[in-house]
Amino acid sequence: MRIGAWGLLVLVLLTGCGDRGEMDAAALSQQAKALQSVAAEGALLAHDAASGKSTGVYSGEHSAELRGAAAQIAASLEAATTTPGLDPTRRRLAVLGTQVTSYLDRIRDAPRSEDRAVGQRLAVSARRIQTLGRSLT
Amino acid sequence: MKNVLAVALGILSAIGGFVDIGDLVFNTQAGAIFGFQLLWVVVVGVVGIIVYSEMCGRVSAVAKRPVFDLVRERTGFGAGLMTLVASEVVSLMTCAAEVGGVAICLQLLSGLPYRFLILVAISGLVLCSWILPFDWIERIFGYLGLGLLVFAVAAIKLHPDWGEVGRGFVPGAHSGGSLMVYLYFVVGLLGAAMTPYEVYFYSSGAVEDGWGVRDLGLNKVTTMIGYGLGGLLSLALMIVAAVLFLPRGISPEFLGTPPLAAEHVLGQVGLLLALVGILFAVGGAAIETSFSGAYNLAQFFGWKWGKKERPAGAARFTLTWIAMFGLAMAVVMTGYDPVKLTEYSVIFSVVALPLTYLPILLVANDPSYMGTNVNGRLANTLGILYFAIILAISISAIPLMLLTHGGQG
Repeated sequence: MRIGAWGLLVLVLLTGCGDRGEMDAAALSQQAKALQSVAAEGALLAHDAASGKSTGVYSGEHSAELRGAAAQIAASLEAATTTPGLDPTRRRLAVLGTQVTSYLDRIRDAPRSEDRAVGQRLAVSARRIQTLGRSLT
Repeated sequence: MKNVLAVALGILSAIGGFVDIGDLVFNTQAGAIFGFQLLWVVVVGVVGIIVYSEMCGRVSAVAKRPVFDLVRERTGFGAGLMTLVASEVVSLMTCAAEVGGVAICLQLLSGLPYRFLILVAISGLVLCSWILPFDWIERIFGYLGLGLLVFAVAAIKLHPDWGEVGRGFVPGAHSGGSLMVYLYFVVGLLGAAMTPYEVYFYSSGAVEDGWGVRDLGLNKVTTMIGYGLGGLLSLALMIVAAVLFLPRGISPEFLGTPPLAAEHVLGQVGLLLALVGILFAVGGAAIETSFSGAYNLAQFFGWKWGKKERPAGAARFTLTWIAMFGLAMAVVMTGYDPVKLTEYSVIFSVVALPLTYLPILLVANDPSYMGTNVNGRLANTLGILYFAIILAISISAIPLMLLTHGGQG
């Protein structure tokens, strides 16, 4: 009984340690989907801001919220480990995550005249992330 | 003429007060994932809330008894206590989510820090609840919640494929997400439409307003037209998300996302109307949930209760709704995401639904309470049908939430 309990504990610890930060294709695909969503929403927001449809407060606050989500995804992608076959995709997604984060910063901080360009960059990033995400499924 | 005006005003406030944070979250997410395919669920949910609200309004008017009074009497102390605990937890979670929603709206309007705005929101809500009479609370929050009509305008201006929209009202095969996620959203949308606090608040309000048999017509009209038209706002939110968010792959995870649709279609005026509409719809729901928590506790333990009582005259009732706000503030101050909290509160409220709706169905059928105003054939058929639906979704809600990781797939 005692041996069984110790065995179970060791198994749990090993499984837990082995799984720490490891992403399989499905988990990576989920991260790609979440990042693509944030980038696409940022693009829409930036285009609206450039067209004078938004208020400064709303675009600043909402882009900050999106930026927080993008930064979190980028950080978890950077920290994660994957199988060797998936690692190039993980790294490319992490880089795109960092780019999306910095573009979203621009919506809040840069002059309004830059919004259209930022929106285009975010839209391009969203498409690249989508392509990478599709390659995983 | 005066009566017609009163009915019209009641309907308007019911429309504005129909949508809460649960409807906003689930309808936009469902539209962004499944397009128009889940429109039929909104109709099913709206008919369900009409059936049971009409029933509990009638019970309150005829038997002069609110829902929780009946829950304890009909289910006994043990089951009643279980329902009470479940309802209080769900009311608190919902109240916290709504308070968080108010703070987010204020932040999107002002740019001030979130935690400071939680304090502002709580102070404003407690002040309104303390000083305003019942009908004023209902009207102010209901009328200003009508800003949400901007989503109906946006839905039309986005020129959806109306043929596709029409097909969405017929349940059928789905695409765009897995079957489990589809079922999770069916449960979530029904839960968001038939949330129990609305019934507690509605029936307690009817008792407070001193409804009698003469008000049965008003009860029918308010529930049918008010909730029916309010349901159109839920449909509009789903249509807008289906047209604007789905093709772009946007999955709305923030309360700031739905106003983006109004902004995109109608510019700054649309954005401001959407934010003000959400602010007051969610604020009104925060007051309703805090009062529901106080109503339930007071009615279960037989305390003196009612907004019409002086606060000192119903001290335990007053302390309970203030405590609900205090606890809700403590929850959102932790920084927990109000949207995630909403998803959990809706799913957990689904679990408590049968224990809320069964006593209403039983009493509405009992001639010793209702005399000649017992359920007719239609009310009974729909009541039993909906109880079966409620039972099915309450059993499947938590397994679906776990299997789909909260709708993430």
